[in-house]
Amino acid sequence: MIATPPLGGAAKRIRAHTTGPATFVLGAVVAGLFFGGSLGAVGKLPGVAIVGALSVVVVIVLVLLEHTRFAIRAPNTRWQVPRHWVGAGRFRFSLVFGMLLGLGVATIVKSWTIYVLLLGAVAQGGILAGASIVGAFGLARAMPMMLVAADSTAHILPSGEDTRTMAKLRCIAGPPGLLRWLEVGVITCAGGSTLSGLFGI
Amino acid sequence: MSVAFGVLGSMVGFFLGGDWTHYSLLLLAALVGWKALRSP
Repeated sequence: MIATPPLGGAAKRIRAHTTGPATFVLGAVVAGLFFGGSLGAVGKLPGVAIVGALSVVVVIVLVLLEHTRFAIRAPNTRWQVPRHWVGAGRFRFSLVFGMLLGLGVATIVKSWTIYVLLLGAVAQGGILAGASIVGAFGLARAMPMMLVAADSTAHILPSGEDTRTMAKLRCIAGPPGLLRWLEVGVITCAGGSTLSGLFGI
Repeated sequence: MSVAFGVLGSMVGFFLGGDWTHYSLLLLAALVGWKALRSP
C-alpha cells in the first residue's frame, strides 16, 4: 500500500507537531539542490552541456507531443513510498518522503517535463544553476502542500487514500487545462532560448 | 499553436540572451512542481 504525503489523515500526529510538513519541504528542497547541483557538475565536463542542450530540445518535442496520438510514454517507475515507512518516525518519514519527491524521478513520472528540467540542469553546465533549477522544483512541489497541512478535517479511507486532502490539493493546483497550456508556453520558451544558445543567435 | 510558442520563445531568447534559458527553466520548475499538486 502506498502512502499519501504526510499532511493529513493518518498523518495527523505529524501535522499536529508541524515537524512533518516542515521537514517534508526541507527534504524536497535539499534533495533538489543536491541532485540539480550534481547534474550541473556533470554538465561542466567537456561537451556534456551541449549534449544536454540538444537533449532538452528533443525532450521538449516529446512534451509537446504528449496528449496527441504521437505521444511516447516517458521513462517511469511504479515505485511509491511504502506506507509502512511511517513507522520509521515522523521526522525521518517526512524528510525521506520530501527528498524522494524533490528528486522528481524517484516515484511515478507522468510526463517528460521533469526530464526537461533535469537535462536543463545538465545543459546549464554549472553547479549553482543546476541546483537552483531542481531546487526550485522541489520547493514548488512541496511548499504548496503546507497550505493543506493545517486542515484538521482530512481523513483517510480504509483503502489508504486521503480523499479530502487530495481534493484540496487539486483545488489549489487549479484547472488542469490551464496548467497544461502554461506548461506548453513556458517549455517552448525554454526550448527556443536553448536553441538560440546552441546556435549562438 | 506550439510553433507560435516556439517562435515566441526563440525571439525572447534572442533578445534577452542565454540567461533566459535559466529563467525559463526556473519558471518551468515552479510550474511543474505546482502541477504535481494534482497527483502528489
